[in-house]
Formats: sequence, structure tokens, C-alpha cells
Amino acid sequence: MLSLRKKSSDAEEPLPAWHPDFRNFQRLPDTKVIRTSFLIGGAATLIALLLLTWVSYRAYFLRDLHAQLNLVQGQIDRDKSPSDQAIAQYKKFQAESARVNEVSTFLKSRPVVSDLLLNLGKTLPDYVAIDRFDLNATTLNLRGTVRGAPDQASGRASTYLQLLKSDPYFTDKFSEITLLNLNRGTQNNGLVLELSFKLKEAKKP
Amino acid sequence: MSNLELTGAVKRHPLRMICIGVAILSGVGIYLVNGKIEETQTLLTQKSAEAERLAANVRDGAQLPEQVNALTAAGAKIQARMIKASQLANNLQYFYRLENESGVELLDVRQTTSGTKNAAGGVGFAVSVKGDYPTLLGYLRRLEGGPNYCRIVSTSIAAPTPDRSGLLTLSLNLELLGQP
Repeated sequence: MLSLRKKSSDAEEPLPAWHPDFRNFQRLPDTKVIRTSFLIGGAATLIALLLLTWVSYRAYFLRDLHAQLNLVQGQIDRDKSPSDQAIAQYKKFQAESARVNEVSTFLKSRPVVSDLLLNLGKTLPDYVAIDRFDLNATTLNLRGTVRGAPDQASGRASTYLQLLKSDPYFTDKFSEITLLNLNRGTQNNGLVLELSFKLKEAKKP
Repeated sequence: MSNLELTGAVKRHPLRMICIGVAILSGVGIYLVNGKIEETQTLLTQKSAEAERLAANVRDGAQLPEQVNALTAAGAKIQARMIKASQLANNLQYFYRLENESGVELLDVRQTTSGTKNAAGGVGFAVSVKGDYPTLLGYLRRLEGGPNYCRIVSTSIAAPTPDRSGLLTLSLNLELLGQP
């Protein structure tokens, strides 16, 4: 029975060729179509050319960047002086506008009393008479008389309060309008009314 | 590799050696150029931002001279409407003139503050006048819309008698915008 195992190389010496080989390999023609040295030379040339192209491209890119830099520097040189002048003008503008703002703030920090009186007059019903008007830093206090019998006068006071609360001028100027007091006066002709108006964003002058 | 061996290799494979030389030089070139590109790009970004800022300044500042002139003119008008805290007689004269023009009876007028020391600010006055309601309203209108900038700090208007007969009294604490 034949063994399937591979025989070891040194187990048995190979048989010599059955006839002598008289070929002279040095003198025989080369049968390779392309020689290995040509391939190596070609690959080396290709790599060198690629690297050379890349470095040339990057150098061109750098040159382009320098050109852009020169262009931008030109713009800077051109705009520097007008820009400095504009900045100086702007500082002057700020200083001048500060003065205008100062006046505006000064005037807007307090309500215009004549406007306030005119609007009170416009909204004042026939049955209410104002006896005292006190405006201080944060509030306006009004004291007046509501004509009529006490039951009628109290209803009128409530109507007047609602009227003030719904008036756009007063809602714009005051954050809160409250009835402080509603009592019989010394004279028997109605009720004494006391109202308090809290100023919006009350600023200490 | 000795010089002799290198010379031999160059003689045997001149093309390969030239290619290797070119590749080495190109590698060094790429390294140097890349560094320079990075540096130049950073510089270009900075310069572009600066150029843009300067151009914006020039563009935005085109109308500035006219605006500054207008504001300077407004500032001069404001200056003219400000009182001088130290000129007491002139300041009080303003209230006497108002009394004359409006028809109220001036009960009292006092300058309560001497104004600010070095900046513009309110110069305080305490004023009491007497008159009927329309006259007092006219007085207030003149005061608040007059030649001097005025803000009323506190005020009270009271009827003199419970039956509301007679003239009303108006007490004012006000400030006129002034300078030292």
C-alpha cells in the first residue's frame, strides 16, 4: 500500500536530469517584453514627477496667497486714513449725542404736569370736583368730592375709578391707581374721595 | 554606504538616482511650502478682517460729518437754553418774566440748589404762585415748554376754601437744566 505522506527532502537525493543542459543563458536573447529595471525606473520617474508637480502646485498656491495679501494690504493702506478720520468723527458724535441724551433723560424723568392736569380735566365727570392735587417723586394723590347721596356717590366714585383705570393716558403713566378713602365730608354734599396714582418707573430726581 | 558604492550605484542606475534626488528635494519643498502657506493664510485672515473693519468704518462714516454738524448745532442750542446756576439774578428774572406773561401772582420764588459742580444738571427752585385754574395751567404750560429745560419734581394745587371760592395756590419744586 502506497503511503500518502510527502517524503522528506533529505530522505532521498533527487535524480539527475536525464540529459545534460547545454544552454548558455548569457547568450540567449531576453524573452521578457518589459524588463524589471524599466518598470522600477518608470515608477521612480512617475513618483518624482508627481512630487514635483505637487510642490509646484503648492508653490503656485503660496504665490497666489501672497498676491492676495498684497491686495488686502493695499486696501488697508488706502482705508487707514479715512477710517481714522471716521473714528475721530464718531467719538465727536458720541460726545455730542451724550449731551442730547442727557437733556432727553432730564425731561422724560418726570411727567409733564400741565398734560397731567389737562387729562384729568378731560376725564373728570360732572359729579366729581377736585380739591387738592399733590404730585411727589413716586405718587400723585388726588383729593376731591363726589356729589350725591352717599349710596349714589360711592357708586359714582367706583365708576370714576374704573374710568381712570381704563384711560390710555393714565395707564401709560401710572402703574397703579387706587382708592384710598371715601368718607363723608364736613359739608353734607357728597363724599370725600382720595385717590393715589403710582408713577411708572418712578425715578428720584 | 561608502562614497565608492554610491558613485557605483549612480553610474549603474542614473535615472533612479535622479528620481530619488528629485523626490527628496520635493519632499523638503512640500514641507517648507506647507509651513509658509499656513503662516500666510493666518496672516491673510487677519489682514482681511482688518481691511473689512476699515472698509466698514469708511462706509459707515460717510454720513458722519453731516450728522456731527447737526448734533453740534443742536448742542449749541441746548447750551443756549441751559441756565447758569451761579447767575441767581438772571435765573429769578425768568420767573418774574413768566409771572408777567402768564398773569399769575408770584408768592415766592427761591433757588434751592447751586447746581452741579462740573457737569450739566438740574438747578432746583421752589416757586409758589396764585391764580385761577386756567391761568395756573397757562403758567405751567409756559414753564414746561419755555426757553429753559424744566422738570417738575413735586407740585401741589389746593383750593383755598372748602367751597372752592377764590384763587388756587400752586406750589412747585422744579429743576431747570443748568451748568455751573
